[in-house]
Amino acid sequence: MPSDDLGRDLGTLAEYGERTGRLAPAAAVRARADRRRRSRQVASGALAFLVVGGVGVGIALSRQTHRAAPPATHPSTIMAAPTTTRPTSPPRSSPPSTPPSSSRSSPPSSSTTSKPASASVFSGEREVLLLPENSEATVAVDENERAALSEDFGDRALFVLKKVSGDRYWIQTARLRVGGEASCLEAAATSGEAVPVTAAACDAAQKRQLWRFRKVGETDGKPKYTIRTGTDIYLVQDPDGQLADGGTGIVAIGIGEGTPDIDTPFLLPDRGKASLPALD
Amino acid sequence: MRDAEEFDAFYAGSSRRVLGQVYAMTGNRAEAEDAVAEAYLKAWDRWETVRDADSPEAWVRRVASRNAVSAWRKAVNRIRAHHRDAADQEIDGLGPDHVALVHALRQIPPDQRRVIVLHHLVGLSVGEIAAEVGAPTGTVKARLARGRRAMAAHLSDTDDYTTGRVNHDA
Repeated sequence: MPSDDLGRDLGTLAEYGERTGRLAPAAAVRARADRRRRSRQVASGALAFLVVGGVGVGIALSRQTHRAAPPATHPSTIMAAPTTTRPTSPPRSSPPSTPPSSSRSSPPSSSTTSKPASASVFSGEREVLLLPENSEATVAVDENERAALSEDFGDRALFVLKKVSGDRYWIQTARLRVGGEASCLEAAATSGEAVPVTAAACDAAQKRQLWRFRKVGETDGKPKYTIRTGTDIYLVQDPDGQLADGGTGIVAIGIGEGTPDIDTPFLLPDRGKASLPALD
Repeated sequence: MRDAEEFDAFYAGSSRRVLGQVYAMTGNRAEAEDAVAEAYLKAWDRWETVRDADSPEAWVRRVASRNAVSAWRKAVNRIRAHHRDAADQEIDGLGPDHVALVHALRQIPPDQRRVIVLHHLVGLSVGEIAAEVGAPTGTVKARLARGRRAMAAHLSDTDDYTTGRVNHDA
């Protein structure tokens, strides 16, 4: 047995790691970070060019298709089927978005702010993904009406952020319908412990359906946000079910000061114009 | 250049310590090196924010831990057998007792390893760990208890770690 003092044994391991591990000089770390930042900027520029070009090509193809094919059924008029399609890759880009609330933490020194888009993802007119940072999966509503991590970026993963009052928004299902109406993400009642998030009938009086978004920085030039309801209940990913046994990968949980910026940011890629039915 | 000087001083004063801590969490030197390097890259990328954090070192350790966990999961899924062989060679410089400890650490889930290292090596209280990992204190206590119990099960003829007392002071 190693010894009866776990702390001392771990200390020996840590000293071994400190002594034998290799780290680059600080200047090399900075230089590599700077190179990476420049590469991202170049890549973003190239991507924007491709997107603009792609849109042009798409418009041209669309015009040709409209001449040849009958009109398709609009996606918003059908119930979303259970997700059986092959997983698709996460989106690579999204148009800039205007945050509903100012950031308490400043972005990196470049401090490049996004230009306001003609229709922000917070306008209630756009379909968006809720994509946890550094995740290969996105938030989707599963067949039990629970928010879950999913590798299917299809209908069940699309939401519309609709302003209810002030800086509070509904997160409505963009295409999923129950009784012909969209549902809203709602955190279960909690005093801080991890609880499920479900898709429920939208109710402006239900405070646990009212979410606030705070911009906490950018990833590859795209804004990222923490999403919270109540005083301090955050939407977080829990891919291994460490926070909630038998969980779906997405929970709402009370989080201490200082951690949300790192542990819970979501990107909100714009996936196109929303077509929600009027609910009021 | 003031930013660079600040960052360099921070790096010089903390990076080896963080590397040792992350190594204790992973039991794999290469993964620890990669995770720590990536964390300091991000720290420089966001230096204006990080330097004003309550503890820039805790910020880096948190990011490095997450990087290491991610790398560990991928490694387990991809090259479990090869990984184990490589790890055995890597820890040649340690005595057999500590090799056993590394193996025991590798057998338990990364989140349990993380809280064990933060509590027993870094010396954080349960409340401080809860703030660092973003989990309720009850979850942290459960991970500590489960982790120690699981490690004991993997270590021969000892259950000493299961009786370790937890400092609940915030």
